Amino acid sequence: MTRARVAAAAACAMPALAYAHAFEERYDLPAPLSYFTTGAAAVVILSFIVAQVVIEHTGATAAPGRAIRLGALLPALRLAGRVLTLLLFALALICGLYGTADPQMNLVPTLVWIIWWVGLSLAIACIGNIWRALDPWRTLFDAADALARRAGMRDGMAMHYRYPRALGAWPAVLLLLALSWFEVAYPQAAVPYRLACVAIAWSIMTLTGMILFGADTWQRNADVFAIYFATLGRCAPLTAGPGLQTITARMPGRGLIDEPATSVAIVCFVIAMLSTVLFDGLLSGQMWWLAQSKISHALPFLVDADGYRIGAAGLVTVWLLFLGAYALTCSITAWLVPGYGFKSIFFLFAFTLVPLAVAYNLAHNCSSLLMQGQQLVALASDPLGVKWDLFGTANFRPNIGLVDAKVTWYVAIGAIVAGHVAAVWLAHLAALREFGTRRRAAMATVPLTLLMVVYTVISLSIIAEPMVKFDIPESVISN
Amino acid sequence: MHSLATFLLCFALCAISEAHSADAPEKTFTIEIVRGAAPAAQRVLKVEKGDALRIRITSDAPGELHVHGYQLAAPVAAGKPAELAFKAYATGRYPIEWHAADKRGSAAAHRGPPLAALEVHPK
Repeated sequence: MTRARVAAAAACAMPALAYAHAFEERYDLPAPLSYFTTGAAAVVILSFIVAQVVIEHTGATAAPGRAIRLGALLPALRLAGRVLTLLLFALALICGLYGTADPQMNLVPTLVWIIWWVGLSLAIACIGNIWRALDPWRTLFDAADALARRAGMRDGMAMHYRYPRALGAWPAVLLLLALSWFEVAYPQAAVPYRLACVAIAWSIMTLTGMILFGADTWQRNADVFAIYFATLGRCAPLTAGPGLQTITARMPGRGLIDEPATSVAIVCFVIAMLSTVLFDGLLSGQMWWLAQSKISHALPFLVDADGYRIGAAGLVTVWLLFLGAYALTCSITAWLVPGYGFKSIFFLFAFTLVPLAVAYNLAHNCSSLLMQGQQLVALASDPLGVKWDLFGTANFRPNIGLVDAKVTWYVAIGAIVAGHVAAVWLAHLAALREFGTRRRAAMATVPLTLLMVVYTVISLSIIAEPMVKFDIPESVISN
Repeated sequence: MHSLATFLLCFALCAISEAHSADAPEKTFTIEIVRGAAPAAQRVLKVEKGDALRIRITSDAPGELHVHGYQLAAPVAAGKPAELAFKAYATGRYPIEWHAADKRGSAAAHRGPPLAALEVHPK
């Protein structure tokens, strides 16, 4: 026993050990098979029940949301949010450029990947799109714009060149795929200096875009974060009114069916949201290792030492497979409900898939959020990892026993089932509104419901799959 | 008075849980490292939350064994058995890494699959 204590003490006292740790190591136990089968059975049964309830017992017109006047509260909150986020953004850049290279000891990786990319995404889906009041790039542009106007430039900073129509929202689709590749397939995504460089490159690109085409045009078409968070915000129960004078409380998910998608690129963006979160889970599992060894045999040109190319190929393949499956589903629906073109159905249902992405995001990341999130306590005292102790918490270490695996399994399976129910429910509501008669709506949603069941069962199987990298066949290791 | 009662209750609960865990039999595992790898049968250490476990490690070359998450380290000399004993207080799957003395600090230290894994299952 003493020996272990000494070893433990040595481990704590020895920064070299902590230094060697990869960022965000996952300690998740895969959910047992019984959780998977229970979840899958619940999904199939609930799909029928939800479909029945919506089709038979719901009116086509949902109650409108309630607008609440808040006066000066929201503009004040926005100002505070903008100042705070701008300060955090500056701090992150300083930490990335001048702080330690150790991802665990530097604020940047935890702030970017855990708090912002996972935490904020989930918060936005559950509350409302607060990114509009935080976005540091928009803040920088708006501030410069206001200064320019004050200095006598009548049109402010924007040059208002015509944004190429043909380009549409495709830049955002490509950027989302690139960002996901950077996050999950690029091993240096957690290196603080790399993150800072990417942030600077993105800042230059997005500010240039805003100046050339105007901030709103740029954010609607090419700003991957603005579109990503706005899409998640459609799930949320709260939405701010024009001029931030009111806040509207609505049924969660209403935003996903009130306005259908308006372009093919936006549908592709939504499918990319789904496929990239799932690919993230897939990549940490055994299946990927096996697939990788198979692919590298069949297509040797894809092989590189760090798995960059094979990661990129996998990411794009999963996206295309999902896109193909969704397109096929919509064309079957178009055949089942004569009089409606493929495209209108393709646009109508796209956003109803978003709850599946939110649910999988929560299921896959809730333990990371709770484990790695604890690291913030230490990082607050020493954001650069240079042995400061501003608040006396620099030596805090995350408690790995905070959440029991059983709790994680319940949350994960529960989230996936709930997300599925929400998606099926919204799809049926959308169909009821669009197709008028209950019979047609029921017909139109069958293929989509089946697709959702398939997606959800895949999500469940990834959560339940053993995340083993060591008891895979010897042949894979030797490759 | 109230706080005293709370304190006593906590104390009693702690004592009970301590006594309870002391009853749990210790589980012993062996990892025999040869050329930086462990035999397939020794690659998964399965215990339940609350179990006491003891890992006996031997290696043909000097190095250090790390249990990630639990942040434990055991230096191992060539041919001389070392031991790690601890209580599995947190559920999860924790990588067990081997860092051969001659490869310390190299970038390759965390590439590829870990030596083994500690699986702590919930009760």
